[in-house]
Amino acid sequence: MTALAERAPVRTRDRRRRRNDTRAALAFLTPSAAGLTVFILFPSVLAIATSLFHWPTYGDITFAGLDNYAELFSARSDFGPALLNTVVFTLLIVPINLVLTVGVAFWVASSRFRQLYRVLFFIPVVTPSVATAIIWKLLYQPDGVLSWVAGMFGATPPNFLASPSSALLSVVVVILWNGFGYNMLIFSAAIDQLPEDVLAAASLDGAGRWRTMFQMKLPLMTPAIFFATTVTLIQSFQIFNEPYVMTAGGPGTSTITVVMNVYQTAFQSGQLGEAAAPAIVLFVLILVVTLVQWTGQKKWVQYE
Amino acid sequence: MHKQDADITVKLTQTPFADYFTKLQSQLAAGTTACIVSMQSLRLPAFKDALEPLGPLMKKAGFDESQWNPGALKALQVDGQQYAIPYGLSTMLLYYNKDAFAKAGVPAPTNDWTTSDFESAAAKITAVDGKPAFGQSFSDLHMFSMLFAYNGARPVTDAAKLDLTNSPMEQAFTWYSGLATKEKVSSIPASSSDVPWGEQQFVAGNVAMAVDGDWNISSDATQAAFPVGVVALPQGPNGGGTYSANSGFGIAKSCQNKEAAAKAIAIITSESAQVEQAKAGTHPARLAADDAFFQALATATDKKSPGYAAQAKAAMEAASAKSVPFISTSSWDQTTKLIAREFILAYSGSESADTALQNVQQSSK
Repeated sequence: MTALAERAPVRTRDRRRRRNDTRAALAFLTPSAAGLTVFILFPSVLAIATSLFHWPTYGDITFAGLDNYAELFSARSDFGPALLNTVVFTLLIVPINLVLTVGVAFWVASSRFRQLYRVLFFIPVVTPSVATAIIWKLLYQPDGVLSWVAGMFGATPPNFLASPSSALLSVVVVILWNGFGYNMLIFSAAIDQLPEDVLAAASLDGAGRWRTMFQMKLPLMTPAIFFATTVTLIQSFQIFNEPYVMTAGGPGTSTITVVMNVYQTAFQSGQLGEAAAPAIVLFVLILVVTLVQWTGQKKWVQYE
Repeated sequence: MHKQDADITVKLTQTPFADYFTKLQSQLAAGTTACIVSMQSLRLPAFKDALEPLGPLMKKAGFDESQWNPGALKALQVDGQQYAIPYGLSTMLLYYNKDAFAKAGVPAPTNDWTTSDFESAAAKITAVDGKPAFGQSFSDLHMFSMLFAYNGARPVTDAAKLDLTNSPMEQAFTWYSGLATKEKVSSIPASSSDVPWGEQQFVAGNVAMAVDGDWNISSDATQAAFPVGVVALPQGPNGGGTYSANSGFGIAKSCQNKEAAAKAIAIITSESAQVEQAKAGTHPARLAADDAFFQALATATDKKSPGYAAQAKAAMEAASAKSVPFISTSSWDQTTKLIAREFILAYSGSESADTALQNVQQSSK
């Protein structure tokens, strides 16, 4: 009897505390949940809906079913080449970026001027990409600096951005240069956090320099590498600024990307429904690739 | 505006030209368009459904057709309906570097220059300078006006349909891209995103000749570091003349107060407004403001290039006499995007002229 009498107020207090917790949780969640709903969820649902309509920027909106998706595969659509280029961009940028940034991060970490280098390499990341693209475009011009340098060595440089064989690679160089500092900074932080005692133990056990690198340091950095890979992949799938400013997708269709195709269909051709369809396809593609990465990470990412 | 009619206040919003039509489209989509919109003759077919035909409205606001340059009005009509009141009239002209011609010992161009005069001058100047004499472009007016002057080739039919694969067009475009690939007398855009090219290279002093509109007749001469001359475009045996284009003020269909908008347009295109504009360097659409334009041009340029204003007047008169409004299609923005992407392949010799034309024709909607 006494026990029950004592427990009753405790339970009320518990319930009250739980209710207070719920309120607090709601209060903390609401701002971000509201932002997520208004700025992410609602537009995403709207984009899916838009893709099912013939939706000109002005004029009558009519239901299209899957017509806009079928149009993606028509001969005159830019979507095919755009998707192919986007995949090529991604396949070139992601591995080169990772190898370069890991390498340079180790080199910078061993340097006396590590802080200076980190700042220097990070400057392109905080510079607007449109501005750097314009400057690179001037460097690439037939009478630009790169041609001049090539001329000094007696070489005839190609017209970098006007030739289909060199345009895509020229843009890749700029994107690599632009995004290089971000991953390098992440890897620099990971290198700084490598556990000294584990590395010291490895060295006592007679592990050489390469063995320490490939069997100790890199495996210890896999969480950072996983993060950088995921982010770089998503960014590569969404490439727009550099090719749009430097080549406008040309020559031919050699540098057009999916996001550029979306932009041009929406704002140059004025077809919002037709523009939403490739956007949804890109969304699904990024979703699938990211999911595959998440499931695959168990096999190679080592959390301590 | 408010001073002249106390009932009307106009709020001015500005957008850079490169973004204007993108912005206008999204405003139309969102229903937030201003009452009075600026409209370019080339873009009119694409936007006419969003604009109010002005006939009765402007008559009420006291509009008198006879005071206007007929070509300027015609460029902003579709099917005989006036959709915008012009503030200017532009024709395409050939600008040249007087020093480069003198250096190569080539007589200066005239208003009755022929295509072969142009070619031989370009070849001589290229040989002397060691760099291409002519600045090519894939900007619609700059490029197509040269083709039109070559043999009357037109990219769009009278019914506003794209027609790039007609035989005169194939011949003219083969000639034009051949200036770079075969004759090697022209500088080609560095990339598909360099839509203005020839005229920029000209002002920078990199080429000796380029086509540009008369909207830059003052600035091209004052910005260049060399004496500039200007003439009508060189004509081929079947040359069609030159293209004209202009911009004007239209009224959005969504406008709540169309009569007030028409009154406002009458005020901003009044004779006194056009004279002010002419003094600022825009070739006016009202006949009465013409003198003010050439006087202002003389003041701005004659010290640096003596006789330039008189030459400009003669060139513009010669060009106007043979000018035809440039007609575009309802999906012109999409076509110009394709032109930039495909034509660079023809200019650089990666693709034949005919293939480039066919590709744009097939991919256009």
